[in-house]
Amino acid sequence: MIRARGTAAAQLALGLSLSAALGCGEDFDPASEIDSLRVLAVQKSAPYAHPGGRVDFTLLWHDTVPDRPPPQIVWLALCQNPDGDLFTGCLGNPTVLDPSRISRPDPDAEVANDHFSFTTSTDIISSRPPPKDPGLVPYGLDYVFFGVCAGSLALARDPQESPLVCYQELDDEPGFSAGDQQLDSRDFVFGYSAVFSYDELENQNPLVGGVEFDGQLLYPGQPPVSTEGEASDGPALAPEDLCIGSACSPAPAFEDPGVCPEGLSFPPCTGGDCPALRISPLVDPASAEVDVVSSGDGDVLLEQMWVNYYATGGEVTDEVTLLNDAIEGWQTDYATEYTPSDEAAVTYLWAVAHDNRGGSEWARLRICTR
Amino acid sequence: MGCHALSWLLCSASAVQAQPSAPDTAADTESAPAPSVPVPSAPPPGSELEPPRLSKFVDAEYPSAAKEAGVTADVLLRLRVESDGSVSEVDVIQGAGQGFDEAAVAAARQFVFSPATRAGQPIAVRIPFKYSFTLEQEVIAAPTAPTHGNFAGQVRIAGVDAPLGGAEIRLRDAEGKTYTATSDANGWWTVEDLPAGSYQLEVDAAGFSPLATTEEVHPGEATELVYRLAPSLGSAIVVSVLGERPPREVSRRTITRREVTSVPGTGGDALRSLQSLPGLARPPGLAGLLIVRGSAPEDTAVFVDGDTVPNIYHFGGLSSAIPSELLERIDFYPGNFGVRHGRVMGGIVDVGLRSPDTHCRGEEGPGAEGRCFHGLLQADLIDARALIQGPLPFSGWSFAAAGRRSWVDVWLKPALNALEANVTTAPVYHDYQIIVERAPRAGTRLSFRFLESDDALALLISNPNAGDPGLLGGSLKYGLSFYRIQSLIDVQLSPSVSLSTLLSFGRDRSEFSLGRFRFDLESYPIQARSEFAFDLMSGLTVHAGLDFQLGPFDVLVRAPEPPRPGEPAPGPFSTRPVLETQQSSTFFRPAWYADATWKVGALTLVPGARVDYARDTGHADFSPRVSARYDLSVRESYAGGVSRRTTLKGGVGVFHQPAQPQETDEVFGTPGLASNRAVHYSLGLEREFTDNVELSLEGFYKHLDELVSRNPGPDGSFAYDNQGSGYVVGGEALLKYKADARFFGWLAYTLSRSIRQDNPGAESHPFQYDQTHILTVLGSYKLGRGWEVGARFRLVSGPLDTPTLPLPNLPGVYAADAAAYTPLQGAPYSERLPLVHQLDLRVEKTWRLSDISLSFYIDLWNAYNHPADEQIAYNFDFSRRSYQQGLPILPSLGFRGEF
Repeated sequence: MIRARGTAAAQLALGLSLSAALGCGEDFDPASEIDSLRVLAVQKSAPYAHPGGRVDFTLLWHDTVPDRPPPQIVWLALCQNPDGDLFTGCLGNPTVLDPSRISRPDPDAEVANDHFSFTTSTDIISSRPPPKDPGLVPYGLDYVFFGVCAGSLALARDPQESPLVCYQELDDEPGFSAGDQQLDSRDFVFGYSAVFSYDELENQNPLVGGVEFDGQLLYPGQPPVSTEGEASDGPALAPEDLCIGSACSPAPAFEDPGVCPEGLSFPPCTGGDCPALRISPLVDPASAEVDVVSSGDGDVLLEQMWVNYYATGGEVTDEVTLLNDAIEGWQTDYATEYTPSDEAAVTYLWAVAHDNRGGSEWARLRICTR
Repeated sequence: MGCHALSWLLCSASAVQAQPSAPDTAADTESAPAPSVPVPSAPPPGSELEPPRLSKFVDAEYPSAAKEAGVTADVLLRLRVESDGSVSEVDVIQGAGQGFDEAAVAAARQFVFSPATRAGQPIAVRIPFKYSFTLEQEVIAAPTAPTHGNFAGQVRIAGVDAPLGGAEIRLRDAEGKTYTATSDANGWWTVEDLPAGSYQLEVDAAGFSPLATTEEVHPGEATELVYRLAPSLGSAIVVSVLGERPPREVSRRTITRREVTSVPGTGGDALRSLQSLPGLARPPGLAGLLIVRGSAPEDTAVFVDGDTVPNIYHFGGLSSAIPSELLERIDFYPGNFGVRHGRVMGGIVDVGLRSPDTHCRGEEGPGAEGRCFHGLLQADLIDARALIQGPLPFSGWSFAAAGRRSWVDVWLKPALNALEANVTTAPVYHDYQIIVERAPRAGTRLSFRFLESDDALALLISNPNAGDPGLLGGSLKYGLSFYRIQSLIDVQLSPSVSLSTLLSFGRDRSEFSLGRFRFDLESYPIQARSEFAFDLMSGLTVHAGLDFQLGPFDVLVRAPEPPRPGEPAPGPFSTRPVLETQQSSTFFRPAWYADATWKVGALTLVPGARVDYARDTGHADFSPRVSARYDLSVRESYAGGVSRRTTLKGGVGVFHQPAQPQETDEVFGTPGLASNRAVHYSLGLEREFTDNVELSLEGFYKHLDELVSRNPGPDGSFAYDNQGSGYVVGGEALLKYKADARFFGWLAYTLSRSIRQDNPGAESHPFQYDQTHILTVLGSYKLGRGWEVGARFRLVSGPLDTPTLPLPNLPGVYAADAAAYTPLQGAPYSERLPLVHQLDLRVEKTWRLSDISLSFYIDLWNAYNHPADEQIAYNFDFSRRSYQQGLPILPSLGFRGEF
């Protein structure tokens, strides 16, 4: 009889899941709640690259701390085809020593270094052993790391853990020293994006056209339209009210609650009388492409897609919703509900659509409680 | 000095000759099950069976060494008395060693009887005979004109003919004075120095129909009788108490039927009660995994009468895939198991299915106008099950049919839907079993079984987990099912040769898919296991067998390359490229084995060896093993008291476990891997303190090498090899109060340490399932009037987890493509969670209404609501942590009706 470790692992996972579902644990703040410096997405111009091709990155970040300069952002594209394709194989072990693959921040710049470009190696695929799975399309892999810091960045003493440290300069010594304060994850995000290169395969980012919010269809630069198709007589939405993808400029940490148009202004949620406002990005179902790499055995699998929701105030009911299932297909209802803040404030909402092949696109909506 | 037989046991005389209507007679014929009503010293009315009577007794030669040492002994024999009164066969049922067995056999062969008769015709019968060796001075010391006598006997289970411990025997004389005794683990009991006269005798044991009869005690004589108790109405659940036959393994833990049904926290589930034994770790959460002596769950195999099955628990460990009602025995070998078993290096659970209960109740004797069909209906919050069994209208054939279905889906599906999980199939399981069997005579059995088990779950997770949204969301399907068609044939080919054969065919299916990932395995295993047992000479038995596994299979795996335990977190799976392998092949794993059970005086030595071949890996493995038991003292009655059994035991053996299929797969693994290897060492002591109390101590060491491990290869890619090693060291203690009429309980403690090293240059680390301390204390007490209460307390070292890097290091890295953080981990399994302690309670009330027994029970899991910390839970970026807790207080209510 065949006995597989996978069966035991599945039982273990199932048992732990059941136990966790029936058991208790501390309720942490959800990932959808933005109350510090956060990275919300990184978009690649080409989620699947080609050997020798250029890839442009746009990093979506937000900092809720007012009166703070834009974060210092560094990009490192020094690792390709690490051992076992594991990102941990890159830490402390750069495989490509090319200065053009590094982008350092300008400490005096008034805008963040949130864009980056690099060109993949022409031998990114041919320089690695062929896949053990003969049915797997050969690929190459670059890891692009970034550090987003609300202070100053320095190289870490132990690059095997995190190559960078983020600190607040407190003494007069240049660089990171014992007298400085090392900043934690509220003020520092270290992350990576994996760039798969294929000779032929391509992948597009999800197509987001607007947002459906509280019974309104919202498109950038247009007045709201009701879900029944009735156009509003209100003004067209400004880019600060609604923007899509790289068209969004960084949002300020603080604004007057009177900046929002009428349809995007709500009374604060007080006394338990809290409206549940439905929100979802308007994603073109054509975004769900065939996942050629995952398909096999006669199965045609689509991309697995989902939406992450974030808010700087109020409460999001479901921080993640399923957009497209590889087998079951497109989900018609991928909205979540949003409960406005209980105080007068400007709140930013993000809906970020992802696919499992590195594609992403987002919409940002500004609403006010007053 | 002299030898004498104290008595021979007329009550269990067995007719050997097949009679035209033998099954309908009241006698304990070999072609019929044991009598339903225990037979006292006279045959039941109407049977016309006259037992044989000893006409020529021959003194045995007293072993000289034993005589010089002043040792006395009893040897229990079984004699075949031919129709001419001669003794043609003598078997030792319970030996005493030290030369007593051989002497008793030699003497008994010379006995001459007046033959037994049925309806006046002489017939051949089998009778038990106890040969007692006493020293002369004791006889001399006896009163010349005795006024008292001894009364002793054995209690056995009708049908399976196994000794029954814990039975309560009450003797009441004419003046109402009562004498009591309790049968020991071998079913024996003694009341000494009774005034001669007539006694009302009652034998009572939990779960069995009580017996009442009248017996005579004669002055200067010892009376010995065998009583067979039939399972009572309340015992459709029959997990037989095994006799204490010397095992071929160093340690065999057996759970008795009384214990199975009453261990708190198990809902009366036989296989879940296993986890209260020493050597078994507490599984994480609700996972029904068997973690034996620091081994991985896949290192332990589960057999049903020698036939491997993929799982014994329905998912989540909620209940067993084989219902308790059909179990005859559960043997658990925590290590150093015999050569009968192989292909794993952890432990063995061998479950034996019972023969259908055809015992007729309501009238005297089997085959009379009593009710011979029995049934059970049980339901709790989790599932409901039913069982019916009885004779078939063909001579000697019987049947049992049982089935179970969960109804978790009835209440869980709405609950999950309320949580916005679009449930297609809520967790649901079922199993059913059919047994058809014929046992024409003792030692011979033909049994056909059909077993089926199925677990299924399907849902669409509309709100993926933020930890890896591309993986932990979407459509989820889980299915695990198997069926088996088994035939078992046990044949006594000659007085000294027996053959036991199992042939099995079935289907195993494992299905798991989550979004794009899929694991689909379907196989049609054919298993053949055949074992000859040769009694070559007194004290020497040789077993030789073959153990074949063959079967076509189809497997499809589509998933990213999985990390092995202890490897750094690879980041979110959802964005990694998937590998796929699809195979249609036939596995073939034959094995041959032989061992010898050689009993020399107080020493029992079992050397053996096993040869395994696995066509899928292309490797053959040779696994020699030896175990030994040495009785430092045996249970004996002296004039001045009783000595108790003390046994020293130990063993050493080599165990091989072939690499897992995915490890040798060309896509996911590395072809050509050798088998994992373990060498088990153990040394222990068993000590009997009273008839009910015994202590077992055992130390063990497992040396592990050639373990399949995953390491970076020269080209940077990770590959499997056999460079892993490790060890498990520990000790186990089991202090047990064996079940008597009211109480049973035990204290089990295991101390262990399980270490692994992935390659010679790597640092050693604790194994994922290492648990240093495992303490279980449990007991159950019958209050009377149908009430029984029980409690189980467990104190276990917390599970191990791999923590993130300590602050001020960044604990997590943001994986932008998955919009999730992945942890930066510290040393593997370097943090132990807090101690787990838990109290489970059980209260059961049973009513007897004529032929129907109704029970209602409450099983309270985690009675003082101390949920165990199961794993470390983190917030989204791993900067905050807490412990994820398991189940809170959880009551389970159920009822059971039996007839």
